[in-house]
Amino acid sequence: MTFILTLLVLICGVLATQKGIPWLFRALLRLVGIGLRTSPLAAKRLRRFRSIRRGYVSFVIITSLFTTSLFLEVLVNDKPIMIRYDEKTSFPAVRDLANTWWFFQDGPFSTFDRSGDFGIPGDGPLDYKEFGQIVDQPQVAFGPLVESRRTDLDGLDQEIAETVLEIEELQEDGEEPDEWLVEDLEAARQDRVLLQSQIDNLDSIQQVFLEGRASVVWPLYRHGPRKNRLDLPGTAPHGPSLPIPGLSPAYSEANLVKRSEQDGSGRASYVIEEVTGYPLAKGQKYYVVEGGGDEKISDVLGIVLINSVVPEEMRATAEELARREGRLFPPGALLVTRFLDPWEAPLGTSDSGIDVLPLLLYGFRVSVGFAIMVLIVGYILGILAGAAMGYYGGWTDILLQRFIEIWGSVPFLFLIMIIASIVDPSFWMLVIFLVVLRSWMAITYQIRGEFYREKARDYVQAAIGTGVSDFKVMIKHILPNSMIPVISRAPFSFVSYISALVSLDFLGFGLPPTDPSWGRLLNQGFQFILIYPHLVLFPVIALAVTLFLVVLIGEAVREAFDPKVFSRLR
Amino acid sequence: MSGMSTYFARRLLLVPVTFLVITFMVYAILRLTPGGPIEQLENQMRAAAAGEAGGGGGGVGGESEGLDEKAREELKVYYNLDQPIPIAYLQWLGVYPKKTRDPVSLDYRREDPTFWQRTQQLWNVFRDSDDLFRDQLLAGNFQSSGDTLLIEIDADDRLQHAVLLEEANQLLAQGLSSRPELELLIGDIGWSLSGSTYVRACTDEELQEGGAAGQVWKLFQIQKSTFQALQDHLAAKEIEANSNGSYYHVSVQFSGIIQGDFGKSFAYNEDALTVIIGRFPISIYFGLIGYIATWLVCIPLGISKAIRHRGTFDTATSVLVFLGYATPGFVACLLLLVLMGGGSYWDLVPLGGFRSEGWDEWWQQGQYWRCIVDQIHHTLVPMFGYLVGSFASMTVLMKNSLLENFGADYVRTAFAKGLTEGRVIYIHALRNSLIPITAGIGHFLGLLFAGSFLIEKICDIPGMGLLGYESIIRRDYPIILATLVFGVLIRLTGNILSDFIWAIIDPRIRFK
Repeated sequence: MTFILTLLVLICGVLATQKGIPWLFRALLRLVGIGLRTSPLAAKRLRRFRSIRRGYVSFVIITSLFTTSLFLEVLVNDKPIMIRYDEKTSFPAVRDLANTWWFFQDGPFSTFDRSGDFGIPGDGPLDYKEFGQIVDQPQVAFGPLVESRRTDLDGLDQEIAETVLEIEELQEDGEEPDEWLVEDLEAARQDRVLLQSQIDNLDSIQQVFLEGRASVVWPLYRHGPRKNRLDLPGTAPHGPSLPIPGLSPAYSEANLVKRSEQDGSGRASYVIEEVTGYPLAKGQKYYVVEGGGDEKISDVLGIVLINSVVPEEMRATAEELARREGRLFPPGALLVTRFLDPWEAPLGTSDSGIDVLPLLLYGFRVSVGFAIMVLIVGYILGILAGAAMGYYGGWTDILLQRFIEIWGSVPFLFLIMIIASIVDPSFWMLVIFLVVLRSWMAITYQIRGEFYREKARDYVQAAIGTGVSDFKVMIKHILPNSMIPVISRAPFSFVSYISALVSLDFLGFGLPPTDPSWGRLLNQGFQFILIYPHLVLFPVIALAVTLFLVVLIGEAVREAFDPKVFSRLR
Repeated sequence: MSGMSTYFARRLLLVPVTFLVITFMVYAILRLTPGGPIEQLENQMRAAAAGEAGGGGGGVGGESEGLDEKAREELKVYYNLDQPIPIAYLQWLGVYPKKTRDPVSLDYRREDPTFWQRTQQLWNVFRDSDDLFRDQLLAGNFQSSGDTLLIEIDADDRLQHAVLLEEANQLLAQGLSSRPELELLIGDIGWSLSGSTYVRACTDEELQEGGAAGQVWKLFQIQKSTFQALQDHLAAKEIEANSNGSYYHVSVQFSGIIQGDFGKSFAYNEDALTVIIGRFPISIYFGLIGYIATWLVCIPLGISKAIRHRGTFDTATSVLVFLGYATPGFVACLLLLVLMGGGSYWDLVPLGGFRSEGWDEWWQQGQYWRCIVDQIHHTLVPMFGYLVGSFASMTVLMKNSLLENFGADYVRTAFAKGLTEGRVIYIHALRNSLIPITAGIGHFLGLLFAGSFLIEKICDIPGMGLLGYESIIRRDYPIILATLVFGVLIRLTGNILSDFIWAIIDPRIRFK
């Protein structure tokens, strides 16, 4: 189901990017009165680009993935897209999305859902997972609770009846009942009223859930790039749950021997023994499953946490962390540290327990977005500088050239590191650093050369002669004829910007630690290089595939815009 | 050629200008940004102090200042940070005289015992007078700062500046953040802050009177004159003493990079040049092997790709080339280490290091074969990382350049003459298409400084890249500047040299 939905989302992404956005763009231009004329030459180049299959397919993949990734908050998130309880509706993931694209961090969307409003007692933020579980199985969630309250109520009724009987007997004997007895009766009656109202309340809440007036819509993948996966057994980093040779973690098994008495907190503790695989260790989490073979393994009863170990007897005591309502752990139950579902954490978790899959996806958005921003800003600056150098020549040219040579020789990493040691760079600051320190210079030489050549041409001289302003000559006349080096270079610059961001993040001078990034994941993988290869392999694959596709685009663009027709040897 | 000579002469003349501007800029940035050597030292001390305080469970509350004023001044002199930036820069360059202080050795002192006996006497006199002065200073609650005697403000002062005092006390209560403001405020009336009390300089009358201030002042004068006597005595041998009783040879001389003095590395406590030269072998090793390997791989590959242009081989290798281009070198190294470093998959390569631990011993024992195998073993991963980056662009350059020549008329003519395909390709076309590739040869000096710090960090190779990276992290100014100097010079001259070589081997190229 999820798979089909994912496919649908991707198809929508492709359609929107390839058809929708260009159409919207053109409509918008038409609205402001600019008709987009495609010159025959440009149309020919475009056709040529499309005819180069691998480049064009890469282009479709990258652009579609990127536009789709702009909506990641509603596709991959630990918050649901929509929750409804009776009359109340809320859109937590949509709010996240709005917050991401709202430029002010504490924008109008940073509110939270109070759990009291959604049928769970308390004033704190709503636990969406808990809410989801209740929606899925209201009977399981409420049944035992209501049951125990009803038992309490029955007990109270009995107590009241007994007290009443006692008082009546005393009165029959003509004695005045003790004062405390009367007070007890009164208190018990008040308790009963309170309990009754609680039960009524629970009943009405349960009714809401039972009648399906509460619902929750989850994103495609229910874990975000910032929240730790506390629901997984074992300690972070977790290996991937997909069965990948060499990466999927070894697991261990143990047997639950017996259940001890409940301790003060009301949580049961257990004695466990007989381990295969990794030895029992304090703080380790185990899934409890019904004993027996592998086929039953998906029936999870709960999670236990080991709190003390006697290694020589291969015995340990464990405390219950979570248990399905209404199910007890039977003696002889199996404890496993293995993932139960290959899609539970398909790519594992990072060293702080954050799911790798959302990290990679959000990292893709950050990396590509970063490169696009640097590309646009850097190229605009570079084109302006190069145009000034080539168009005016003389001193402008010499001075700017000197400046570029000097500025280009200043060690780039050194400056970034110094700045990063003073302030923690944000995404936009990094964009500005990279533009100002490096990226704008790359294109200037080519633009300068183009402008140098074009300026001598007749059409430019004619334009100048008719009194067109310098700026207009540069932008309107020369620039369109000098775009080839810009366009054919862009994809390769793009690759280098993503590499730069990854290197900076790898060294710890990049994005703030809360932002998902490939480089930081690589660094973690570098720390655990022998133990957790998935922390290196997955980001490397993501990086290499992305950059490879971009390089393919670059080759195709270069070929389409600047075809070298080589004669065959003979 | 005359046009070309002037062209190259002009470019050569511009090198020093560019060099000076770059180095000055970096020098200024280094000095202006926080986190210099003294601050790093203080941070270390603070961390150590915090550790001790934590261990003892004690509360070293309030402001831990790290170093006291005097120590900081001495360190500033030691690191040459006491001079203003332009002068310090000129001194670093070696065109402005610098005062150097070398400790006097015991051997030197033995050469002239009478002189040093006299010195010792004078030192004792100074020390006695200094002790006396310090005792009185403490007893009378005075403080000395440079040439002035400071005294805590008295009731008269409080009365006189009551309003200002009120304001100052408020600022004082606000803590460290408002300290500069406070100092500005009380500085106007000649007060200063010592701990949490206000002090002011003693007035002349107070010093002239026979009171406590006068007494201390007198002792102060004596202390100064005894110290002066000591210095005068030592001046005959161009030696200076400091107040701790250490003696230094003092000389004023030009000592900067022009004289070959790059300063002492803060981290290694060794001459920066020596540290850098120590890394040359590793750089040359990887640089040279990488260079040769790139040629050995790229030229044949480029040729065969050009011959089979648009064929299956061409397309298949193109994928490899693009994949190589798309993967940053250090990422490729990481990948190799994960796959072959002995983790989950194969155990084929060591996890890092330039050589194994006992390499030198093996070499001395004559186990040359073992040494060579070990060296190759350690070279594989970093070399792969270096190759991945450069081989893509080189191969494509080779291929395109050869293709271009295939389209040229002289190739067609050669075929028309009836020459064999091999002869046309390898003798006629190849020679011309190697030109753009050989042009890069001007950068051969760069081999000395080759080394990507990312690859070296991952493969744990103590090369030039890692040295530069660590020097930036530790703010090791002499090393940062020395690597910068060499890097810039080699790059600037390399560019010119490349163009020059290009112009020589390709007569069609004309610069002007």
